Amino acid sequence: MSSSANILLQLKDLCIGYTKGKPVLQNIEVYLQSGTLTGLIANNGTGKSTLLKTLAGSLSPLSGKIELNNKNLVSFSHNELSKKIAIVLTEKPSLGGFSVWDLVAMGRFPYTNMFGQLTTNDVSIIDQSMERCGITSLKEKNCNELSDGEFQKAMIARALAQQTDVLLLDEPTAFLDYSSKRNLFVLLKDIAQKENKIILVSSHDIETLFKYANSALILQKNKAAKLYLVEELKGKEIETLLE
Amino acid sequence: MKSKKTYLFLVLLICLFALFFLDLIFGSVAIPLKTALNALFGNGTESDVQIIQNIRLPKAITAVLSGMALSVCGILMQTLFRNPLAGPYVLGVNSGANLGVALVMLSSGFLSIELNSFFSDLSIVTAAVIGALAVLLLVMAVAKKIKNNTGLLLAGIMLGQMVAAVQSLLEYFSDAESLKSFVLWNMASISNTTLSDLILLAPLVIILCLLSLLLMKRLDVLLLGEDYANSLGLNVKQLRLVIIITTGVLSGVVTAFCGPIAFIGIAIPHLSRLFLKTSLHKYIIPASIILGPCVMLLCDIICQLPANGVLLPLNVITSVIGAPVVLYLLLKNNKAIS
Repeated sequence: MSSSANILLQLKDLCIGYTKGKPVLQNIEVYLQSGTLTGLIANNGTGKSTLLKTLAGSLSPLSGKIELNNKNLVSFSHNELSKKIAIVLTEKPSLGGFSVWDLVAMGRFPYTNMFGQLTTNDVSIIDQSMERCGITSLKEKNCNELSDGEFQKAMIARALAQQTDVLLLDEPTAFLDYSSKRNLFVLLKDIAQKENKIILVSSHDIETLFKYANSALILQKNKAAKLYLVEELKGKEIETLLE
Repeated sequence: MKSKKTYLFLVLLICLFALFFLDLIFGSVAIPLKTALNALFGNGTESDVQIIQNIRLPKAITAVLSGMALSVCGILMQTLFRNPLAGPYVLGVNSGANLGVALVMLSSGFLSIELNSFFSDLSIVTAAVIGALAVLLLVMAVAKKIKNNTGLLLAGIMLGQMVAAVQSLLEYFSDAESLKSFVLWNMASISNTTLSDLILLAPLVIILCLLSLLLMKRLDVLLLGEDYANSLGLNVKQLRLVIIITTGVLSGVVTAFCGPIAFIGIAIPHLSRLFLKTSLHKYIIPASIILGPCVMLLCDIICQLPANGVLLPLNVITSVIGAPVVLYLLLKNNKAIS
């Protein structure tokens, strides 16, 4: 599952938003490297979700570009992009009648044929992803019977099964209790390092984030985004950086 | 686990064949199985052959086709709206098709256009499909605003009522003769189709049901929601378009030939999920394609049960079977619905 090659995600003079002429954020210049866990910190309404959606390819940049290993994201096809970037969102879709295994198996969607037939390779990737997230015992469980933490892990396992270079997570800890939060960050850090992925995770829980992340991308309202190393931020007043 | 599902599919298939032949036997004149089978191949008395080949066989085939079509519509709509309460009847798509048919049948009276049977069939089917598609698009526009599942159901019922009101108005202003044929058609019945009608109905239903089988992997992912589906590389817009057209055409043609059949579309997918204990489309689409016809045949057989040639209205039976399923969902599965 892991690759040793260094992967680079570059945001070059990126301007994002929903309508032209009304950018949510502009002049974003950020480089993210594989093997790192980066926190995305911002006040509500600053453009966190907009940025994540743009990176995931479901929203086009207003100007500027995003490059993955020097290749512009715009030039990827739907299918190619889904093999490069996976996302875990806050919404919890209702999936009654789907087992956790079925859900994780959806991560193989970009790789399987029209009928979704799984090869033995697909099956082993699904099993590995579940094991990685510690949810092997939930395999047969109905998705609607999962706790928030378990569901979050199942969604992350699904994203892992997608075998992408980049993993984006939008407030994955929002509904979790303290120990589940900590477990999740330990898991994400481990995945970033061992599987050489770029992980960008937005969270309001700055304290926990600083404990595990390598760097933090801070978004300022109507201003640019800036990437800091976590070491630089320790002891600083984050509030002043957010305004 | 897998073998259990295969076993269930086998049982369903056997039921389908058994019910199909039972449907040939039952009717105002009881015809023993052996005589019926002979008559099917043109052997036997003239009246037996006539009854079997021209009346009961088209009716049984129509039951199978309409059961397939409506069940597939139900699944597609439930997945499209991500709402277990969706279905062609409850969301008013059938009513839309109805209105289309009413427009053609009732207006041909005062426009006094005489069409030969194939073209009149074709114009009715086209009108029904357009009506179904129009309501489907309206419901989709409403669904964008209403995130609540039960709310969508209510909105669908209201839309259906509005369409029905327009239809009543048409009925009021139409002449007696076309009104009579329209009212008869509006009773929902599978016994009016002739073999020549089936030439139009059968290929459309079969092709579109097969097409739905090609969508099964994508339909699973669509249930994750638009953003997840996009990030998995699914072309959501394209899939939605395919679903809308398939649903509109399927419910349109069935309504054009059989009238508005109630509750089959919403109930069959849930029964399939209940039997197979999964929502994976690769199981529930094939299962519904077999179970839908089984239930339609069963309903038709029950319609024939009263003696003396009395025929119960089809919708009475489908509602008795289908409406409790919706109630069951509302009561038991509260969490999944709200």
